[in-house]
Amino acid sequence: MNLKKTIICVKSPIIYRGIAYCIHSIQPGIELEHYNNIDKLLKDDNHEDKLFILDINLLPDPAFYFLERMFVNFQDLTLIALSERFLSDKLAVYFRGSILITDSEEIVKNKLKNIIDTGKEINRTNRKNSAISEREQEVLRLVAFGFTNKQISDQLYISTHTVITHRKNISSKLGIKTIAGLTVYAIINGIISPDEML
Amino acid sequence: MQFNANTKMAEVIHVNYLLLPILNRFDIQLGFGDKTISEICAEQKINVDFFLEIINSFHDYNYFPQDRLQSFPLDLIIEYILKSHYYYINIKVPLIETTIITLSTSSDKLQNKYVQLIVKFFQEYKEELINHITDEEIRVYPYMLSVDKALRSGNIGKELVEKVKKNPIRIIESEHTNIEDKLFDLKNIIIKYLPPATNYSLSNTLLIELFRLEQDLNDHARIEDKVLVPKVEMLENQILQKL
Repeated sequence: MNLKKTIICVKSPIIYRGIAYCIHSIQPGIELEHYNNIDKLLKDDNHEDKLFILDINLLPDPAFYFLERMFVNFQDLTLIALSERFLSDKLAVYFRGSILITDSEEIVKNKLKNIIDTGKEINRTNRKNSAISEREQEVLRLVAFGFTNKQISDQLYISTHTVITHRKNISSKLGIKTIAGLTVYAIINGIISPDEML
Repeated sequence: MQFNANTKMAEVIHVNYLLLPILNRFDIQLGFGDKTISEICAEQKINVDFFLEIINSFHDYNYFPQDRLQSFPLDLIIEYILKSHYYYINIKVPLIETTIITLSTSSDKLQNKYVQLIVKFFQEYKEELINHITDEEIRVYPYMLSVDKALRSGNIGKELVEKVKKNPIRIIESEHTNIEDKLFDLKNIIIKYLPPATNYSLSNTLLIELFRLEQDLNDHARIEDKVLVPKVEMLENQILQKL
């Protein structure tokens, strides 16, 4: 996407600064704005060339109901979730991606870069139809980057045993066993961008 | 059905045209007339029993007379395998490559982005296949033949005995890379995940060629794993018993 502005919708000014730092290190000079509540986001109806990063704690309950109504009005919204844990599949369909509070700087940058590069080619319907869960997509990303099970477990704060289980599930769900095959799947489905592979 | 020595060669192809490349490996060309398998094999000096077991096991996956196949001379089996290698590398792989490139040139810009992934994937696969085959031809088969030769001549060298003890065929085979998984993945990616190409008949051609190559490679791997390796293992044991 031709990114012109990023809006970071989060209460904490420290977290805002952190994300702003990551965005500026991949796209220096891009315009940023801090919304500290959801109302401002709802009033903003010009979404072209904008990226919205939303702390899901700001969403009123039930979150998915709220998001569904929001997307009825705002179909062109490019939304990224900021959360403490992996999103449930129910919520994940509304976001182009998600950043975890526990993600390392490098992961946050990679995720943002991936979303900015692939833009809107992959729409919400695609994610909805994705054969694997949000968490499995996280693992798949790192597998495609060539990380070992140990490295993946360190980055995602899960045991290597869990990594292996995820990998088995990914392969059996997709019907793809080799890393080369999984990488092609990840690129086709916008889980990683081809540029990241260089 | 099973083919026998009195089956007409033309009928073999009418029943299963996928056997055509197998026939080529025995240097049998089209234009059979009404000649039977045994007649053509006699003309071409082909071991008719071996020919029949090879075509029958390829034709019917459930028919696999392992003991009988193992009873054929080692050099006969290896010669057949080398001809298969030639077919994969010089005929099948270039054909698939050309198909993928045609698919790429006939795609629009967005589609081509995805086809390029297939181009790259197949390029990598081709390199792996060539490495796999080269390793077999340079390292594995010469070792197998040297075991066979030593036993037949009774001249068992010290060096060969060391190899049999330290690096027998089981170990060599376990180090050997798997070439079937990647091909299966490629097929599945095209069937399930690649955005459909505008030129669908070309995609079909590509898939059909991949299926054929896979079937051929699976049959090939089965002969290696269930005929060649156990046979050489048996020969290795005979060498060790003679010491």
